[in-house]
Amino acid sequence: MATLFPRWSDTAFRLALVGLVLLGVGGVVGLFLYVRTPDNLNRYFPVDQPVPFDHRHHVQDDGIDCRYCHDTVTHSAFAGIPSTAVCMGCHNQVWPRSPVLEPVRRSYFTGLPLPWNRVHDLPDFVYFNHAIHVNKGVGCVTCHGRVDEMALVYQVAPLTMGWCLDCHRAPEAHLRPRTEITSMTWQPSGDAKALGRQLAEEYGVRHLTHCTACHR
Amino acid sequence: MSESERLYQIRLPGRREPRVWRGVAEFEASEASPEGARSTGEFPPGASLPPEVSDGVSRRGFLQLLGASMALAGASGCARDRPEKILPYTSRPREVTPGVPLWYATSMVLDGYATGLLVESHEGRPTKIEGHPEHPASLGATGVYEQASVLQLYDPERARAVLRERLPASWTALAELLGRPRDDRGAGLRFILEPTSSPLVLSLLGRVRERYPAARFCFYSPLGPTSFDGNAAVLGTIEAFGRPLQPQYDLSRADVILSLDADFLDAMPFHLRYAREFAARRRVARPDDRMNRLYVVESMLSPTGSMADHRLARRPSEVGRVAAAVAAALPGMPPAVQAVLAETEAQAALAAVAGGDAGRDLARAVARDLGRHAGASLVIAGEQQPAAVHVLAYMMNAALGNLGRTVKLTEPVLGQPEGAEDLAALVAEMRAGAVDTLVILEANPCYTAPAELEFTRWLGAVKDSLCLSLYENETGRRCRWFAPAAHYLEAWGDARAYDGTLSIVQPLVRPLLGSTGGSEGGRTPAEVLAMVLGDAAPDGHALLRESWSSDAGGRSAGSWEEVLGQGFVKGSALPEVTVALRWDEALRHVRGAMRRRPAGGAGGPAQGTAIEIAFQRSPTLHDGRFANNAWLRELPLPITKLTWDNAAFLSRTTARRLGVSDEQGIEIRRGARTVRLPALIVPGHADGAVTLLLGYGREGAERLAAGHGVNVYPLRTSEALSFALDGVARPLSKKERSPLALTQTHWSMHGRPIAPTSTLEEYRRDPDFTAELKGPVPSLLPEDRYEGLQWAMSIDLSICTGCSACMVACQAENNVPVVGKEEVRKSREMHWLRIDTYFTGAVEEPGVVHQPMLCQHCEKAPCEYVCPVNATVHSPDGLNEMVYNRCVGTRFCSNNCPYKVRRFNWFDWGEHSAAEPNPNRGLAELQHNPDVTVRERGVMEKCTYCVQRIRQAEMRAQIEGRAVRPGEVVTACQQACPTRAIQFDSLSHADTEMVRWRKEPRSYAVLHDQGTQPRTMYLARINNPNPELK
Repeated sequence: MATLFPRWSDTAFRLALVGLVLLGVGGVVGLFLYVRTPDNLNRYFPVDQPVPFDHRHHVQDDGIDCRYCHDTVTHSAFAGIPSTAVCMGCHNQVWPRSPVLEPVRRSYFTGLPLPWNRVHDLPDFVYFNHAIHVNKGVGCVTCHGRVDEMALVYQVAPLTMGWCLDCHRAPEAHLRPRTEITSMTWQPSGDAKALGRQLAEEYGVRHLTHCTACHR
Repeated sequence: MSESERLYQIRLPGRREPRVWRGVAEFEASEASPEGARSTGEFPPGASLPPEVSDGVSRRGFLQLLGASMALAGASGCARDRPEKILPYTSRPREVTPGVPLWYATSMVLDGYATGLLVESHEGRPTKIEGHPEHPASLGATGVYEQASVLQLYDPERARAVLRERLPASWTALAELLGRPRDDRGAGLRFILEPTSSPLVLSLLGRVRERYPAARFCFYSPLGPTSFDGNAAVLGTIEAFGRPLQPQYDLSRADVILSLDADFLDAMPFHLRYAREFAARRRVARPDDRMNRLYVVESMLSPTGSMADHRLARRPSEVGRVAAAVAAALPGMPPAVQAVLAETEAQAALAAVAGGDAGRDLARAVARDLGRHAGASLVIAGEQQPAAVHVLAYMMNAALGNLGRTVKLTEPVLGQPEGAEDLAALVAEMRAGAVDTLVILEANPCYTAPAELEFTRWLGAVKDSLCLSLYENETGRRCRWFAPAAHYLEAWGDARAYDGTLSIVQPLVRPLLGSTGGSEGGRTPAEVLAMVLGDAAPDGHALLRESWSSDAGGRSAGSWEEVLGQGFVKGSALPEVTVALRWDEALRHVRGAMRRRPAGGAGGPAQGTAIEIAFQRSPTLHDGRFANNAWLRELPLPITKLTWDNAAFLSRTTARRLGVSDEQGIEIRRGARTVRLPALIVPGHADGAVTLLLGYGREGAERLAAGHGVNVYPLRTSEALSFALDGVARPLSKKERSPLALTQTHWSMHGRPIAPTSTLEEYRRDPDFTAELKGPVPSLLPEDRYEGLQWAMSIDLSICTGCSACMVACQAENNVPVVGKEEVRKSREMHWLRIDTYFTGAVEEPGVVHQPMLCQHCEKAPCEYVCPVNATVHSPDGLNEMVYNRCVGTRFCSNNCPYKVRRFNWFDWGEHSAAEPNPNRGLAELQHNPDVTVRERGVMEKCTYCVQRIRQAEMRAQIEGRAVRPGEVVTACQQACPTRAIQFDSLSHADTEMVRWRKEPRSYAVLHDQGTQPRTMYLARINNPNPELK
């Protein structure tokens, strides 16, 4: 009697089984890998803004300190997006007729705010506080990267909970003197580890890993 | 007794445990059989049913949605999230730092009196109300109305536009109508206002009078007694002292207090201050401390009555007789007066009224006790009582030498300008057609006016009527013109506190519901009065400044900015008036009143279907003005724990006599008018009386207010504003039941000593009676690692009055949603903090203990061990943390929590709430505290000890390079509490009340035997009964 299936069908079936398992495992592993990719984490994607504000120019060419515009960073949870009046403080003299600045002038004279697009977007159940980090010696560049080299700002850090906890468990490696908070280029001279330990001691840096430190 | 109950039962050495029960049903079941208490069921019906909403999802619909969501799940992953927007200020106000809230001092005016407040504002959004610590009427505390008033600001049902014959009109048109010069000297111009103490409004009324000398003003408050005219306390002073005065009590100097139907801890003006002073004298820190003693005579168990050492349940009409009996026996009364009082029929009828010899003995014992503390005692008469009872109270206080000590008399604070008339006179004029323009400012007489006046009917006879109100309410719908009122958080104004302190009402936002820039939107009564004076576009701020600079009190107060910053003028309280009691006149008035008293009082209502009706303001809705406030609707009433509706409150004896049971319909008739509402048996209610709460069954445009409860105003007439003797009750058929949403009696107690009580005498003999309810418990569980500050709470049950201000404060602070009546019936209410009320003893004369119950933050928390996803864990500073983003909703934690304080989000309450329209969404979202996560469906939540406030204080301290100071972290419930019964701090701050309290002998942990080692400690309730009255 002729067999219904040829002999190689056994092999094919076994290979298919293996393939299915691999596909399943691969799918799961793939998903695990994918969530870590910059694509999923929104890293390195410059975000369009209503005004093409260039941090390179303002920081490097003009030498403006971060805190000139983000002035609430030392005492509020929010670093603060400058009000239109801050922009116009300079731009009523500098480039007062530039077409690029048209939205800024419109905002200033109509009283309607400029709708900036958020770049660093944490979930709503996370209560990040800029003031405490800055006062404990965590520099801007540590989380935001070299903003002074960005035309349009993009997110550098993954902003995952694991990334936060890496620092919260061992903050010493990420501390700098408060005088260097806004420096984009500061590097520890000498024994970096010893300096970190000393700053942590001096600023009373704690290792907060309990949930309500961030989630409330 | 089953094995498990025997195991749980903890006997306190040497003490006989009184029977403890949580509701009449449970009491009766336990009376029937020892096992009976269990048969009332541990869980309410429906608690195990799947979630269901009014527009329930069918199985088929569910599968369709399932399929669609599977298919679309992939599609949603393809798009990158639209970036969130950040909208900075165009020009940031100098004082604003985004992310850092600001606090403004303002005042809320209720019943004409101001309470000083501090209001939290997040980037221009008022979110939370706190008491003003320096304001004499607040002392830092708030009541439920103040706490919930912020939600009213964001009520989407508030009126938005000026209407003329129900069609949109404008303020300009209205101003033109009002400001048009009249040639009749104002003969046809009438005003209805709420009683007011505002110098601004009173000066404007004076100017209106100058322009229109024939105009008349009617000051009308539905709670009658709080208006100047009907204020029994003031009328009493006219009889007793010969001129209108206002009594003010100093409870900090009172050792013995007799309350004659006066709920001075929760319902009277200045009650926040009274409660604070009362509690300070009530708390015994050590067994040898002294403690005040409180006697209460009242019909319905009130927060004050629940604090009483001896409480006499009497119908409102009998209170006067009890007062007379006490006065007759009072040492220090002039003998002549005593003789006359003893002669009056009050004394003769006392045997029937006060329960024979026992009642007379009680009255005499009270009199002796008051006499022993002459000069340090106090008799307070309630506002629902007639002037004669107030006169009796003044006589007793005078005889005891309390005047000038515990009772201060001042000039009345509420204004009574020239040209005032009462509502009855006004309606008579309306009937006669003499009124052509009627301006109703923030009153709602169509709903609240005494029934026999037929106000609504005669309103039609007025040519031009205007109603200014927050809502398009019953009156607003029937007036020719309607104008939206400004909420007090949007308005400029002023008022006096009960002691006369000048207080400022300062806006935190522009009128919210206007079209643009404040040209439309709500207006204040002062602005409308200015329109009558011909000002076409009045500016509330300018009016106030003008009035302030012309007022002597304002001029002397310092700069305007200083006054604004402070919120009130220090030292502007009215001076005390020294005046002697006119014994003869007072006595004549009392005798006259006693003779006039209807004979039915003594025996009538105790028989047949006759019943005495007591009308009370709702402890949550006031006179109905807060009927659309979802927080207050869902706030359980003190004692009964009834939410959303009102009911006919009856004693068990009366209910049996009438043959009604809980939730069964009952018809109450007075003359030709009837109302039907469900009955509810209340422990300790006076027999032969029914208590009806005002403020329910609204019919205005407030959708949340409509359809809940029954309007009982139709039974109320001018001669019976507080109580009526001629009621008739008829039970409806057993089938006519209206389900009531109670938050109590859902679970039974299984006889554990959860809220132990003792007397002062026993406490002195055996101070350590709670010794077995605290201390270390052997545990197999690993030791926890604690470091830094250690947060903990102490709650003193001796001074908790059950007023529930803490519950609303918690709701406002922590974005706690409202679920609606149907879900409350399934025990799905979301309050993080509830007040359990336990009764001891007999149903007729229960002892009451209120126990605020919230997450106990156990050191060995049972919830933590059973969570499969580590969503509830412990912090090193001793908090039991709830991590919403980890929670998958197994509810194991709630199942394992012995305190039942965890709440589960059965729905996304922002989307589905059984209350329609949904009170959790829309404008109400503007009230949300930005520092607290809004929880999603399927997530467990519970009290966090206000962790957001703890973390903010920590960060503030860290940035300033210091340690967190004792008293720096204050939880929302602690801050609101009028009596300061809740204390919170770190265990390491040894010099705080919180730590000192838990070292007192009477401290204990609830369910200590469970080994949970809670961080919340309670202090057992101590009563101070009169040893003569055993």
